[in-house]
Amino acid sequence: MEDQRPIAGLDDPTQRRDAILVERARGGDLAAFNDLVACYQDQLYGLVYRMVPDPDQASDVVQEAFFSAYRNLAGFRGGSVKSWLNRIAVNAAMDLQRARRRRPVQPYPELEDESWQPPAGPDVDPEDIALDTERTRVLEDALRQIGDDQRTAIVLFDVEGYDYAEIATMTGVSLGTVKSRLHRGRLALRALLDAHMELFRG
Amino acid sequence: MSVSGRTPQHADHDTFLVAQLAADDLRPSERPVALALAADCDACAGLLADLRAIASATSDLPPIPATATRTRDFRLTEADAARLRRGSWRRWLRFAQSPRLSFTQSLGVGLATIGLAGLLISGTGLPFTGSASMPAPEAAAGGPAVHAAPGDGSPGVGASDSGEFTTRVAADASATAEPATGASSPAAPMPSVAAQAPVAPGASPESNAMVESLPPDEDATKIADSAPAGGEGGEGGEGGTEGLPADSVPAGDTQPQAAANVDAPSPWANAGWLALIVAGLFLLFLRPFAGRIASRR
Repeated sequence: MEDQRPIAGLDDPTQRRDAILVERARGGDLAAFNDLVACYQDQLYGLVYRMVPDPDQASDVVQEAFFSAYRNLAGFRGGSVKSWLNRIAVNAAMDLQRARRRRPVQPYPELEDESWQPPAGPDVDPEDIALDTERTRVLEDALRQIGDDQRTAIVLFDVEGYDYAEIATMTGVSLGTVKSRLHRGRLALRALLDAHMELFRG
Repeated sequence: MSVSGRTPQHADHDTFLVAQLAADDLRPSERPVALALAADCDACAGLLADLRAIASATSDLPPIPATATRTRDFRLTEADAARLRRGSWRRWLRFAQSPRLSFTQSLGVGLATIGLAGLLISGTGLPFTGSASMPAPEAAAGGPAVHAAPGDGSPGVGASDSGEFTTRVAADASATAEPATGASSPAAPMPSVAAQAPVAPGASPESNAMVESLPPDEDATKIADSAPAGGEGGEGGEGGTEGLPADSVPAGDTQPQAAANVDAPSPWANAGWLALIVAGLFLLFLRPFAGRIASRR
């Protein structure tokens, strides 16, 4: 009954659903855990793919993150399941980044599948869509080329919306280091995007 | 815009400060400096605008539709779950293989090297470290192979009738400096070499006299220092100094032994060096061993 009390206190239906699934998974219900996986695998893959822009490696990282989450279900102390899973995935991605740094490999490949585009409403100008698509492409390319630490800081801060303190906790560095990586990462992006800055200037 | 407005002085400007200003992440003391840069330098102003535009564009990046690039379903199978539920030692193995612990191998090499160096410097228990580092009990015991008893048939004390005995003792002591002792069995003192062995023909009277005057526990190296070389270092050369009266030792001759006692390392220090070696080897082989075990399973 003690474990049920925090669940009952949750107002957010998503958090409530997640908490129930975690409780059932802790009790050995694999289907409940797989429901959680189904809920978050796309979001997690999107996050990891921005940090590790290689589809195969990103898939490995996400799979490892879910393995780790299953092994550590007992360690979940409540709160947002999404944040918990994100933290595990970020750590797994950083492990891969460290391994890549020690074993120099090919740079991250170009994004081959460019068929996806941001969703557009019916009254959107096709030229705007083309500009958005081009801006996204060059920005993703530039993100792929900056350092792992700087990319992680930018993805977590700008894309995922975490604050400095949360990023510092997730990545295990100081607040000042997070800020420094973010600013230097943006400066590096600015240098890489020098020829395309017209796309970004309103 | 920003490129065309670049001034010669811009190269000296702190762009990091501008980046901090773009993120509104400045300390109050730095803010006027950054604002002055943006106001007085066109390039800095352009950079500020560009950085803000980039931050805005990054925030607006559309979510990557995972279904477009994700090639697998991450749901766990029963086999996965069973494997993950198994013993905690597997978890430990995986942790040991984690890239986060990659530093352990270099740390292990360092620890083992330090331990080995410490052990070599202290010299305890290592036969090749020389008499200079020989610990007191052994150094005081004399030359090698002194264990040969007079009646054991080995060429030793009493068996040497060639007159080379003294120089052999000296050669043994200087050549090998092996820790050995005749004094280890003080209960059965051997007959004095001085009494039985003839004096080496080539030896100086002083060195012969010293051999005769050495006490039972005198260092054989003293003989080596004073006797002329000439005899071959053979087996069975005895530190036949047992049984000599202790009062024949000059007062100054006790100092080397005292020094040896000072140099003797404590057993705790040796245990510490050994522990460093063991810990270093453990860290060195931890990850490869864990990887090998994990790959077998």
